[in-house]
Amino acid sequence: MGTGPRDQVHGGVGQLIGELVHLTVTGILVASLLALGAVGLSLTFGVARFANVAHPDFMMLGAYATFAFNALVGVPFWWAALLGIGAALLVGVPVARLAYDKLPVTGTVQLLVISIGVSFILRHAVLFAFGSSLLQFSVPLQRPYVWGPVRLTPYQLLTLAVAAVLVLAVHLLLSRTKLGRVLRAIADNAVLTEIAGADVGRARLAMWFIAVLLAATGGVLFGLNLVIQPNMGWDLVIPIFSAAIVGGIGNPYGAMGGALVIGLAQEWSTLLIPASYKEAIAFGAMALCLMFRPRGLWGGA
Amino acid sequence: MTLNRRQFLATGLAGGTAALVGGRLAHAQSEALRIGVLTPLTGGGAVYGTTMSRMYTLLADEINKAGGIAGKPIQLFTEDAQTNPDAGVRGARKLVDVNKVHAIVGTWSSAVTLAVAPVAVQARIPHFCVSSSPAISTFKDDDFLYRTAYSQAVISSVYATTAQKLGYKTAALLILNNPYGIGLGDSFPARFEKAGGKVTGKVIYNPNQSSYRSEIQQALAGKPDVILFGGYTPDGIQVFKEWFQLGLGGTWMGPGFAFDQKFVQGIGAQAAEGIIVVEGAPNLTSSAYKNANKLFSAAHKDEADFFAAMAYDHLMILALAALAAKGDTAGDALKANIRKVSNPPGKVVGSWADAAGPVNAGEKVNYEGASSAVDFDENGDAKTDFGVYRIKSGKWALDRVIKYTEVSAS
Repeated sequence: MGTGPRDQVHGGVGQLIGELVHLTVTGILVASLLALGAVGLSLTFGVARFANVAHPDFMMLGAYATFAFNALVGVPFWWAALLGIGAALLVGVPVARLAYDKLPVTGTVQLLVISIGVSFILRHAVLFAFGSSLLQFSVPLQRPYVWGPVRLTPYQLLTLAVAAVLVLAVHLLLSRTKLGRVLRAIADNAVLTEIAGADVGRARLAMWFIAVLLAATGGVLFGLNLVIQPNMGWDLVIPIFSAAIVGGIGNPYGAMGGALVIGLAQEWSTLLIPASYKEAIAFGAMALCLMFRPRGLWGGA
Repeated sequence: MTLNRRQFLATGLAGGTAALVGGRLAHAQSEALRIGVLTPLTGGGAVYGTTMSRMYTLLADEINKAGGIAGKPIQLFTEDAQTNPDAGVRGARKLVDVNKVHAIVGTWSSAVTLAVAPVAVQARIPHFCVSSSPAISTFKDDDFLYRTAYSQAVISSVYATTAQKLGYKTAALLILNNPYGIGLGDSFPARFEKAGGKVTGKVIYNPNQSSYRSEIQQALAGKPDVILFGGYTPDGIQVFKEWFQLGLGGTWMGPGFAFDQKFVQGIGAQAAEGIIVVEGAPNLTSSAYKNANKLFSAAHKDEADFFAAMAYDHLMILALAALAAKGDTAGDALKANIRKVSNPPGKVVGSWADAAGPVNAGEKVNYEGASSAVDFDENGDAKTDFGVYRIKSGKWALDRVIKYTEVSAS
């Protein structure tokens, strides 16, 4: 009786390579969804200096707002996605500003606890409004394009493209614009940056805008590929934090690489060990990274 | 308008179905048979609970119209078990303490049944459920707990028999990482190999992942004739959405509670087409089923399914037991007569009209139920047949019936 994953490689080397390609494609697909969460999380950690546990819930917010426009109001999916991301920004940015920037607390631990509270409030507001059942956008299921062992539906290709474009846009913003320079400067030394005359408040507003925009877009793409449920943000907390930490938390570039490491590690691992452990692999990768490269794979000394 | 004393009394006592016989109630010296209906009207079991509640009402009306039990009516008291053990126990306490019911029927989820059972045992009243946990067989119930559904303990054999009958030689498993899924994964391979089959792989998945593509690929890697799915509706929707979008093909088999109407709506009729569903089957050829189906389809324009059939049997057996006890509705009297009216030997009966006469005359009857023969073993379990359905255009279409005798043979 073949129960080990090894026994399931039936067709020799050819099939093994096919499976490896399939797993790689799947890993990149998972990574592109994680990256949209992890890049924003890392950015906010770098600038605001705390771990925002509610960050993945901004993904949920984007997905539910899109669902409301798409399935309840009847707006076609593409317009609903734009409106939904807009609505998530209208809710998410003020919530983040109020909870994290305006309250008279500054400590990392205090902000972490506040973010747990924000996560609960967002999740339960959605539970109250939409119920706990799983929901889906009203878009038809698609058949994949098949190129050898690579099988991707048009929506999955779109997911890869959108993730790549947004991550590139964040890169350009951080490296080529004045706002990017200010954000990087705050991440290095917030006090000095303020003394130097930069508008830290405006930069933080821009940071929350970018973070929620990326997360909400990621949430819509997640819903397009799978399903929407109130716990979707909570379920993503561990993989997204793992990706951000592997990449060196506070480092948005590292978060992209971190997402790729987590996505590929978890999918490739299924060749050797049962798939039910693949999420543990993501966590194991994070632990290994913390042991040998405490500042992340791309972290400086 | 003024009421005289008798009218006042009748109005006060009668409610729901009892209103029909309120005048008679006011005269009655002894008690009506009070039944607590504790079905899930909300939550995961809502679809089944609603069907069952409708059937209880229909049959109670029919028996009451035919004169009731020794001149006394059946009264139904309904509480929503909400597919939730806490709500189930609250409902059961209210039925027992306030309504003073003589029996509880209709608990659906195993968790609710096992939570409610101690309440019924303590009150010494019979409790009929439709749950499938093996723990219900071994529960120390002092013979007050009965089930008309199959036990999960036999389901692996049912899948093995079904696969064999459909001519499948190889099978893989894709199962959820919880006691139900793992249990299926532990028991199915031995049964299937005994039936001459070969298991090509077993893949365990966790719920709420960002992707199931690698799990699906692995399950299909050995090109099995059939893949057994051991999960529930919510994770099923996610897995099958990804499966369809991979376009890898394959034939799936699984339980009715995973491939229900919500599942089909969730992934669409096109993706669900051809999935094999194994579920308890009504006792289609019995006169009890024919009567149950006639009642149900006249009122609700739909066929009586397995759950409606089980509800019909619960109430019929309790009514016949009360009649055999000469109208004594005490829990112990009902318990003493349940097997006398439902198990062999005796004249085979299937409807109230057939059965009431002989039972009144003191004759031993053997009620053959709408859901199965309802011959209860020492654990209070009945043995049901199984239906093998295929999803066609979004609906279950019966392919064949697997008799319980065929299951134990393999």
